[in-house]
Amino acid sequence: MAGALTIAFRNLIQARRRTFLLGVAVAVVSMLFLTLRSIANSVTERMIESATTLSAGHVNIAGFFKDRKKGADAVLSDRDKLRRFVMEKVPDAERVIDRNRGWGRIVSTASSLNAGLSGIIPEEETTFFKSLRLAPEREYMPKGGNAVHGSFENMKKPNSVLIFAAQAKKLEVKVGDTLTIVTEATGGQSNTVDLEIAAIASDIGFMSNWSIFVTRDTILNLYQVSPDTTGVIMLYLKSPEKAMAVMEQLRKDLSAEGYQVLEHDPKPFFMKFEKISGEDWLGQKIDLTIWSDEISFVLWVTTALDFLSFLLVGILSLIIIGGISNTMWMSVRERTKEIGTMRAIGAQRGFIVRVFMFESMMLGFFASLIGGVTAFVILFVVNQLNVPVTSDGVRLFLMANALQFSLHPGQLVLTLLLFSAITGCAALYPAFKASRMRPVVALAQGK
Amino acid sequence: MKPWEVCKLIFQIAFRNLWMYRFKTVVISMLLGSAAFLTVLGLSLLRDVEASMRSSIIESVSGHLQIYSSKAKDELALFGSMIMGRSEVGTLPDFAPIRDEVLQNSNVKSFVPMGIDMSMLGRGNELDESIEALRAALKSGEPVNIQDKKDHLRFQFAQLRREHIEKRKIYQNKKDLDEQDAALSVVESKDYLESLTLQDEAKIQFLETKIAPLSGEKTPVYLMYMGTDIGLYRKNFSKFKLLEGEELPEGQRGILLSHKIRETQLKNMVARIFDRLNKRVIKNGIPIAGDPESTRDVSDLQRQYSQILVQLDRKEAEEISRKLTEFGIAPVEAEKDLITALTGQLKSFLVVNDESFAKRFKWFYDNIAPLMKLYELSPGETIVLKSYTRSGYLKSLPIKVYGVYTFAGLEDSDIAGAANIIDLLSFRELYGQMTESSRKELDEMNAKVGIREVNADDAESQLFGEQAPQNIESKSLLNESAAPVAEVLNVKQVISNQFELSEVSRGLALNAAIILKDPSKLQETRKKLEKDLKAKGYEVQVIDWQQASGFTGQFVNIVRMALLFVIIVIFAVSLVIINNSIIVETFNRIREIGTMRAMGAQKTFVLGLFLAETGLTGFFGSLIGTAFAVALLMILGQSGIPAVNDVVTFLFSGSRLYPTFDLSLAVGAPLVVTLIATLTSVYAARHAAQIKPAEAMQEKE
Repeated sequence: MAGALTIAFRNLIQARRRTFLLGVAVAVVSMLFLTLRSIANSVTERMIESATTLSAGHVNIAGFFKDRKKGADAVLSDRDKLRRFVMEKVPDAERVIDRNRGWGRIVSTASSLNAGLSGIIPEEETTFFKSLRLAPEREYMPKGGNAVHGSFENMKKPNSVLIFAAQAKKLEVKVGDTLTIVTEATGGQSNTVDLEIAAIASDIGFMSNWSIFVTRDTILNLYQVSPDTTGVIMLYLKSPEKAMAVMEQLRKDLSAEGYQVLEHDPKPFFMKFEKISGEDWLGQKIDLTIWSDEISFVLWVTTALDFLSFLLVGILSLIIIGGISNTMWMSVRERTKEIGTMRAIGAQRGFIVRVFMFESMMLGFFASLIGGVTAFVILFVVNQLNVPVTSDGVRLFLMANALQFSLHPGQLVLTLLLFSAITGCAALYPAFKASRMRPVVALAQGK
Repeated sequence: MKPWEVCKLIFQIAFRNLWMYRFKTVVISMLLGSAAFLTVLGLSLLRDVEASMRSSIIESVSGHLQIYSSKAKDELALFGSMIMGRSEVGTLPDFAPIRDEVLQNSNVKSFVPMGIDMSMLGRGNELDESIEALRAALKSGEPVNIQDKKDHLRFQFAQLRREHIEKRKIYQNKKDLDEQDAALSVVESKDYLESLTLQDEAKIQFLETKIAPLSGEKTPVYLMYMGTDIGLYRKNFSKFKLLEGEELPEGQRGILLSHKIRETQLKNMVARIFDRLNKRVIKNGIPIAGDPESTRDVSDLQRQYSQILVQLDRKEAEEISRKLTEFGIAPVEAEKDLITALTGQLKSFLVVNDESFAKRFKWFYDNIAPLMKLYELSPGETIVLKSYTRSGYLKSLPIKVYGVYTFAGLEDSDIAGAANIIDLLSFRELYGQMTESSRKELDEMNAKVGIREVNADDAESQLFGEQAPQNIESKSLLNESAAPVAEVLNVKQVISNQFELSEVSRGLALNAAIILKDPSKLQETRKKLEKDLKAKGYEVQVIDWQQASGFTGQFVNIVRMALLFVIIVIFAVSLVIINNSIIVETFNRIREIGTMRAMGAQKTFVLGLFLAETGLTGFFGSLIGTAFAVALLMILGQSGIPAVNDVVTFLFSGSRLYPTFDLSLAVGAPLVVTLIATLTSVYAARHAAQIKPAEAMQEKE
């Protein structure tokens, strides 16, 4: 084994120029691969982050209450009992919170916008507040500086509201100003409330444009619903990948307890109103979703990115395989005599195969190491520069307001393994051919 | 040797070498072939997508250029942006002088004022309608009719009672609930409806004021609309096509519904799910079994039976029950009651699978649909749009539906469904802009109270404020308490349905489309217009159609960037590999080259030989790749590429894309590929040509 490795290494060194050129090709492709994967990963991570911070837990127990045949509200009654039940059934949930939901028009003296309202219990939302950052003035004021105002603590005061920088910019407001919230969606009636801006947080992707946070009492008053109601109970799991299983188990548990549970429909709750409004029942049905369901309308972005990166890397891998097997083939021809000699002094066929495979894999490994590390460094530097994204289209695609790539050492390892494997595959045919040479013929041909 | 003989020799040797190193030849020509394949296929498809989007966007809404205020807070996005609700693109307070200036430009054909906004659609209250029907029946004096209407009301009371029990579970204001409870108990007593006559005005009033509000309105729907000068619009946007109803006459208030919006938001839910399934199962040929999306639709479909039921009167219900029995779905024996029986029949009718779907889809449209109100809005009806004006007042505007329109060739595209079309005057009204007549009223009002000067914001609150029982129902939003604002001033509107044409030839617009005579000079004209307007002191900006289409237009750019990126990377890597293999080959053939040189071949001969080899490989490889791409495009051009989902439908601007192939691309691609490949191999070939004959001959000797 060591012998084969040594010979392979020597061969690489001997054919320096060839090694260099092929190495560059492999390094470029591995750089590209790593970059694309990190873009796709950062988009996915950002989506999970936005979704789980703003609108969803890993598993959500929401539902609809129909007190009118032709309508539906995103309200659940018996909040306390339901919450207790859920906590009991999912003991390994890291965190359980619940929020009341609403929809309204946010009016300032300068402008107005529509947004979803989340009624939170500030005492329970420490994790949420921790994941937010107070926005410096410059994020929402034309000539603002770096000063931050307000605090998330202020949300504990009644009639407080938390908005995001992009919203503040549009509404032309600052911390301490008053916003009027008008609910629009209840059967012809509209209620209003004046709230003081307790804090302005930095945007989380573009999805934060669509929601603002108020206290639970504000929602209860706006919609005149009883305190024993909630909009959604959000479960945060220690292992989020188990969300689907936990949801299915909850479905069984809730049904067994006598709750009516809707079939799983992987869409965010606000896309279900119309369907539920058309159904012929009164009372309440629980709707269980996992985090990805609540952002299913933007998941196509990840699908598109994955598709693109796999297509590109797939084609490039084929090209590399072509290039390398071509070169290895040359290498075999070049060293026919040498192979003949090795075989003649007793080297097994497997040994010859190994020599060529190792040569190629070593090339792949070192080249992708160089490429991968270079990409890693470049992306790291770009991350530090925090380049802002100005185009709306690109912003939507990347789910972020600044160029940020997610970097994991695991990706680097994956890249190394993948490219070593690819280059190894590429050498298979030439190596096999070389091993099939009969010593006598090879020695004669080499002359 | 004469030059052509040299060439001949070079090519002879090159061909021989290519054959000798077959493996290499095949690999490299495959590389270049795939690059050519991708270039031709990708660029053709992209060009087709772009062309179809270009014409659909320009000829439907945007025109070649769009002009809007430079003080806009949001970018103009004709097909919606990422902001929820209305975007603020500023206003052109009076577009007339801007238009006159723009029309001065020799390349401008036309200037069409526009504005995009959205309002809520008031959806009415069923109980109000039933009470109104009872009143009419009482007037008519026909006992059967009266009984029928009373029965219907009683049925609705029972429903209200059931709903009321549920309300108690979630609402906090028990006092209100108790009051409602008491009111319901009054009308529920057997005698109340039985003894009701036309003379009992108090009783009818009680029903109207205390009972009807309990049922509430349906959840409001947001309608996007574009206000424009309809005459100018029709002249300049050729994709517009009327599907139903009549054209909106110039000088008339009215709305034209978008076919797409009507199909996807205003159609009966059962029909909508049937349509969705039809598209997926029949048109796109994806079986229900195994397709999670359709499976969900199927299970939703059976739960929407009441959407059919509520639309039928007794006679129609009997008819459908009978027909369903003929169809093979008989009511369960035990169920004597018509409603229960029909409910059961409909429930089993709406359970569809791959086998039964096509038949039931057709049966639904042949037998059930004609008896239903398939769409919530239809031409000829008058609807109420409710909009929050700039200063926060809720304003309602009744408006007549004239017709349903679509954009020709774009029936399935989301672009086509972006907005309904209303007249510019109603647009201004809903936007919060005063018309001449309402301004005059305000002036008169002010004259009476003795106020001379008012600014625009004050003017509006003057007009729609509490003490102004003017033309439109209005209410103040900025109430301090969180209590329901129940008081709505319900005053008959006095706005005329007609207006002077001069009113739309000047005044407020949010943006305007500019149609050019020569679209190829689009960017020059854009720059010139912007400069000229700025020089005259107008605070406006001029953007092209692609920018104006917002995310829609930019998406093509992103796709193009991605594709070009992929092609370039593939090229770059291929070229490195090719160069590499030439160098390796040089080493391999060092003796051969040495011999050639020793026999008197010039350096240029060796150079030429290597270039010819790459050139030939590149040429044949890319030719084959291009041929494959062209063949694929032609096949696809016949059958069309189906748009599998909404995103693709939107990219294709239709349900299918019929690709065409561009001769210049098919000829150009192989040439360019060959040229690039040959040129980049110059380095390696020169390297080979540098070999000194003597050294080469000694090698490995």
